[in-house]
Amino acid sequence: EDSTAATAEHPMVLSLAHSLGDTHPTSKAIKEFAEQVQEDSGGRLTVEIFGSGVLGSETEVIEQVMAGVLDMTRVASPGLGSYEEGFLTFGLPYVFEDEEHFYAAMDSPQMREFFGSTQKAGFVGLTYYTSGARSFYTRGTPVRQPQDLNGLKIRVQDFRSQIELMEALGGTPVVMAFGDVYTALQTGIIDGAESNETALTNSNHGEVAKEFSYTRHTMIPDMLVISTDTWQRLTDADREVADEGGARLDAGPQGGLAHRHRGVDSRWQGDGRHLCRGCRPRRLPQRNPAAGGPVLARASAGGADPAHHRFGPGIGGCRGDGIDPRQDGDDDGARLVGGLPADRHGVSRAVSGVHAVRAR
Amino acid sequence: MSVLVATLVLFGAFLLLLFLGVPIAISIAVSALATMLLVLPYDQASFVVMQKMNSGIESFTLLAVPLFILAGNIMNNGGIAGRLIRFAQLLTGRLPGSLAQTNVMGNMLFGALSGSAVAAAAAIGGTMNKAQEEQKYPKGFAAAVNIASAPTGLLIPPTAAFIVYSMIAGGVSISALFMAGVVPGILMGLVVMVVAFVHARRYDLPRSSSPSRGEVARITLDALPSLLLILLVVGGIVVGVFTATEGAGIAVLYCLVLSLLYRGLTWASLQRVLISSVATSGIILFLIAASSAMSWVMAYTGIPQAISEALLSVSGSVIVVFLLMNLILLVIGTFMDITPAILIFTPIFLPIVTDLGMDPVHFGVVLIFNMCIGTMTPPVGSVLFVGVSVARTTIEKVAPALVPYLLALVVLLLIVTFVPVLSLGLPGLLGLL
Amino acid sequence: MTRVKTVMTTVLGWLAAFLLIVMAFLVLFQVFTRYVLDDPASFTEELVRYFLIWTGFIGGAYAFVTRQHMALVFVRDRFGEGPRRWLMAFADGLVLVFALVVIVIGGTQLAIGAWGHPSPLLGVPRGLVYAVAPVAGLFIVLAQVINVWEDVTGKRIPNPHDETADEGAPL
Ligand code: NA
Ligand code: NA
Repeated sequence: EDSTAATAEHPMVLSLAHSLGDTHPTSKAIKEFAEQVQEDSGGRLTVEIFGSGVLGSETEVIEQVMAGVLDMTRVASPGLGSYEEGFLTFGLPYVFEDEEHFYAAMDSPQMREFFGSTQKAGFVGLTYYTSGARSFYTRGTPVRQPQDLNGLKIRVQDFRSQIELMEALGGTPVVMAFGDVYTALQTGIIDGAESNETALTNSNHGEVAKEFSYTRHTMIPDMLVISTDTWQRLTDADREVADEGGARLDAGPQGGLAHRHRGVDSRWQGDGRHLCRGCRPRRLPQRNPAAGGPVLARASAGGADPAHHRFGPGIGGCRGDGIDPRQDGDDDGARLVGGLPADRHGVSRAVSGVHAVRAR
Repeated sequence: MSVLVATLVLFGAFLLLLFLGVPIAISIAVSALATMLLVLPYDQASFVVMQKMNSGIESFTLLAVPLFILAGNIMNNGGIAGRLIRFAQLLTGRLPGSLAQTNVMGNMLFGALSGSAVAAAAAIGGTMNKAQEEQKYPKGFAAAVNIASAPTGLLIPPTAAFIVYSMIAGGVSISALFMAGVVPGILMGLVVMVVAFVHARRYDLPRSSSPSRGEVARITLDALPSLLLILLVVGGIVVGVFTATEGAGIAVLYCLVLSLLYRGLTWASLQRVLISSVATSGIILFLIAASSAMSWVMAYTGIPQAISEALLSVSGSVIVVFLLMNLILLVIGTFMDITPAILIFTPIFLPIVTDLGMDPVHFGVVLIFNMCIGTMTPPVGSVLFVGVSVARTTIEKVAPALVPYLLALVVLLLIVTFVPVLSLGLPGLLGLL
Repeated sequence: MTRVKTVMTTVLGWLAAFLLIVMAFLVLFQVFTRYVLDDPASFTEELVRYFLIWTGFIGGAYAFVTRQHMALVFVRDRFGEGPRRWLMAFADGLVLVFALVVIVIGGTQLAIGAWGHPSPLLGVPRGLVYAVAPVAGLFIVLAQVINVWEDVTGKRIPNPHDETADEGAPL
């Protein structure tokens, strides 16, 4: 049945699953989203949340959403890359110049159009969440430049794009479950990992990692997606409610989540004591060519197999570093890390979202 | 659709099928599917069942279970049991009823190595049986001691049971669980030894003659490589040199090499070992697959919260809730085997006890301890069956002799439940918590 | 029928044994690459996960063919010969229906639905990973047809691994 039949007495219940613990900031934001939707719909739509991964891993849950078993889920965006390649774009290093650029791009009409364009894949993007930029943290070696990663075993998320990224940077990627990272760091099975600051605090990795280097190499948003099935059963007004419920929370500096996250983020940056017990935060200049430049140079020059590790035209983030891959003069460069072709429909849409803001 | 209906359908269908003799895995999967059909159309329900059956066993950590089973089976055929028995005799031979005491110690050592209560009961109890008959041990007593001590290896690391629990509990540290099982496992063995000591004095059972110094050295040296395996595998996992799965792989290699050196393994017996490991692994993996469909539908319909609320409405007192939980688990243990019990009851009880302040590592120990007792009780107890069959006697004869051991172990279970430091002390000391 | 059972027992048993051996090698190889080569292999983790799924379904099918799955039989055993046979036929028939309707048909749908989705690391289609379940399901269906026939007629067809069956005691 569609949402026209829903009333405050017999509301349409939308199930939403995610894998985060109760205390995670995004988990709280999702709760606010649920309240917002209920309020805006006058109680005709309610959102039932299944947190802490009780219904399965992110991959399982997104499959359940696409099968119409669940209505909504929050997943890390590269996890959507198997179904819509455009989402792999967000896993690339330095696609976003800085946080301003990130928020401007993610809130742009072009990006919104991209989020709405994935109906065929079985889901529609409602909004994004961010926990800040990802940086390297290690047991002892500060990462000031890509060469510092040489010979270090770094845990990466199990996405092919992230493995290739690490190889391109010169480190040795190690795939393991996030839950094993603490022990692996403690015992030296790995030398480091990369994540945002919550890994040090919420997950206590700060107890065993002694260096946090603000490389800010990726800013990977999480996506809140709704099943195409469910989306089509919502009336236009209810779609607006669901969309706005999400949008209001991340809409720019004056409201909601993005702002709050940015606040949290800057507190972390401003005060190393919040990071961890005994961990030294290395503050690298965000656009330091020594940090960003060579990283991109390696990434775009392409590690082991140059043809497969290129930044395509239009994907930048390297402006001002003097290493613009667009000037590479090599037409073969139209592939991204992760074997991702830059000319596919979804990718070009995502890229146009990133790029449109840059052009302003 | 209310939670109550879902709960009734799920457990009603499950118990009905279970007692009709439907394989446990299928009873689990069918009752899960029936409950899903209350809220989902058929194609979605079958999608979820199949997805969860696949993803439930898609785990690198879980591979440790088949590998430990393989290692244990190699050990069973590789001449390791005999060496451990001779070593156990060194440690306990001076006590009255020394053969019974040796049986307990042998079970602790062998169970520690193989992680299998049933394998210990068969290998050690089976080997000890002849000597005990010669020395005129009462049959019921001999079998009861073997049965009561065989499950110690489920608590003393390494043990596949903790790996299954760790996975179902959402990644509780395996190193911490392994260390948490050490003290309760050893205490379990000691309790059995104490009760056996009392009985042996009453029956006036003989002690063994003391071995010469040369014999002591030879026997110790002979058992050393086997004992070293525990140290290597458990130590490696706890210190973090390798993961539990890798430790299990190393255990397989080590047991294989050792058995080949001892010439305990022929090509024919290796084939048997492989095939029997495959069967056991298939049974356990298939059970885990089915259970993950069940835990999905439990979470989706809110059953654990409902049970939690019901339990807490009986009493808000931690002591009462823990007592109730132990009672339920002991009853479950009378008829259900250890793996399905872990799979079904972890998702239900873990949220409750953690809410009440129990550490998930501690709960793992309490849960497995309950199931250890369950393996010894009629009507269904795998250790009971094996112990009775290797002693060539009947359950009716063994049951009365077993009662004092069960009572002592239930008392120890309560102590382990209410004194967390017994479980958490060692892992805490090693910084694993 | 004896022939069919012998072939199924042998094929499923050795296929699962082969997977188990390969997984053991992969795990040891992973340790080797980390400590000896100092360059940890990244493909082993994902490969092992897929092989474990396959081992679970193939080993599970093997245990159906050889009738080793855990079940509570003490209630059933209290009945007389006649009713017991029908209870066994019911249990085995239920396994057959579940295997056919859920594992074979549902499993095929799951595999087809996931065919276009590459796995995150190795890029193999998820559908291929899921495809083993319905194949194993077909074996289970076949095994259960024989098992139901055995239940109803009271005959028992031997399988070549009968003498190892009692060793398959879990944990
Ligand atoms: Na053990
Ligand atoms: Na029992």
